[in-house]
Amino acid sequence: MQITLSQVLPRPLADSPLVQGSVWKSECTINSSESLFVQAPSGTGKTTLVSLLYGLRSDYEGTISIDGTDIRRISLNGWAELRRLKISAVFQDLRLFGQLTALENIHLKNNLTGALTPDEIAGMAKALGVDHRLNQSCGTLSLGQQQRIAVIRALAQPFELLLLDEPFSHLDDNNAAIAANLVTEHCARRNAGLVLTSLGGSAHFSFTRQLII
Amino acid sequence: MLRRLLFQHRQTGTLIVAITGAFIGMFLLLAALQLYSDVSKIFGSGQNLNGTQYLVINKKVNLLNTLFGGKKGFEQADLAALKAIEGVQNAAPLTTSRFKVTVSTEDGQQGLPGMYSQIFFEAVPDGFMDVKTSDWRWKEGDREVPIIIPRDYIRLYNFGFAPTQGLPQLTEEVLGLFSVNVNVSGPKGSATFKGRLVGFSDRINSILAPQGFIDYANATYSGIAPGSEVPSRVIVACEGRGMGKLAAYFADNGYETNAENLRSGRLQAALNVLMTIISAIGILIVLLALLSFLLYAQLMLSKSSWELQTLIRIGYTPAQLCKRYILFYALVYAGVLVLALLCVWLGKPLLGNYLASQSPDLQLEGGMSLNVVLAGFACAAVFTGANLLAIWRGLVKLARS
Repeated sequence: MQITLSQVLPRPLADSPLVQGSVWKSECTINSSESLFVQAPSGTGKTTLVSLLYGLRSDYEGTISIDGTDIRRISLNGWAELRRLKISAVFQDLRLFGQLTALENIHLKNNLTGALTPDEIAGMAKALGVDHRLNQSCGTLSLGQQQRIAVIRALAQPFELLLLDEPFSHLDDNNAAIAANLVTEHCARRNAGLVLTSLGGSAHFSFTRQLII
Repeated sequence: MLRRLLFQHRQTGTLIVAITGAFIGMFLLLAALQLYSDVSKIFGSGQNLNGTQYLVINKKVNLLNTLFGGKKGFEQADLAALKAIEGVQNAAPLTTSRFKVTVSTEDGQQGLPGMYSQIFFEAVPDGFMDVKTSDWRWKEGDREVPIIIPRDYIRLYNFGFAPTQGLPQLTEEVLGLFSVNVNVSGPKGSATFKGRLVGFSDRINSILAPQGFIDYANATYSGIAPGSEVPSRVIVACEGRGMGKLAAYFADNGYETNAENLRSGRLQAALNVLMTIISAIGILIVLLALLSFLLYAQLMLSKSSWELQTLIRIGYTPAQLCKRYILFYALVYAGVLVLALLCVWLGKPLLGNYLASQSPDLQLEGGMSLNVVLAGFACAAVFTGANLLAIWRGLVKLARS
């Protein structure tokens, strides 16, 4: 899969002094064969970039294409299919359902895709150290635990590109390393690319390219 | 799991109010329809409550116009005024025979006893006839004249006259097989035709011959050209709902008609108004219920907008979510429909027993009318459709925002 951004500028950023980077107002290509690290100070549009790539916003100038198709022309059903089969994401605000248990949150996605077996889910939870929290309602989990549940949910589907928006901001170094390993392993298994945004360092992942906004 | 997310903001109280409203509205509507069809049957002859009524009218005969020859016919202006009344569909003069007519049978011929009688003929335009037969035509040169008599005449003969004279009772079919001699005479000549009964009328209380025959005979034997006489009787076709106004008009102008017909006509008009009001109230309540359901659905959508957007974000299609919602509403509407139909079905015998206890004439026949069931289903379908549209639009809007 190849995503191209041509002269893209999000409207909210139109008035702010542009950081001269390689994304906004320029030609930028993201391939699903690469691992990208997006680095920028806060307020320059990291989350906006993830939202744009995931089809959540339409307030931008320029053209974004996925495999040659302008994403403005992708239907709602087309997006649903992309989000089930090709692009997965961990959102900065996680978007977990607080009233459901952690396991139910994962099932909500896995029921759509059938990507993981119950054993695989249990194994991933165990690896991330949240296996004893699976039947607890998500609203009562700590942010760090919720981030790990969100990672499992994001992996519960086939994908060619995984978008991670500040995924480990509430994890200690050790747990971040474990989570990064799990993600790397799943990306490798699916031969998929990765886009990670982070304020902090890019430790625990090995990147093929760094994108400066 | 999904259901818990989609319906977590349901408000049972609001829902119950909406369901109750939908039930009351649908019940009233279906009950009014059912009653309408039942009452129409009581009025008989398959006509519906608002069906056309036919009245033959004449001006009152009083001493004054008998002695001094006052106007007793209907002028063109009278006819035009009648036609202008709301609900009157048509009015036309009856043409009367202005020649002498006698009918006779020869003794022993066709197995009939010898009979002789003076009669008269009238003609009405074909559009007013309740007897439809291909025999109903006459052209110059035909020796056979088709005749229609009121069905009452056979009853009079069979149950009044025949038993006292020791004569056999006759069926309509048998009567249709006989023919009689029709002798026509006037100042300008006379002739004999063969008369044959081709039908019996419940509508027009007169002995009818085809218009063509009477026009011809009036001209030929009495020298009276068609249309040159002022008609003294007029037949009026009027919708059931116009009967009230028509009756008042008759009273104001001194027109006479069959009082029984007029009374049942006015009753029909009143009932018709009543049914219309009940139906209108039913429809109004149904619409209000629909509105509250739509608002309820919108409320649920907007209260669950975060959940719905998130579900769409993780790959659910709006159609998947819409299906869950509409299934719920369709079930609710189906329940309301079944309940309303059940109440009409159970209520009908109760009303029937009550009516029968008031008067043995008032029998509610049969079960539920098919139209009522169909109307109920149509109502539920409209509800489901309207809700589907509203939810779908809401979801698409959420998905695009």
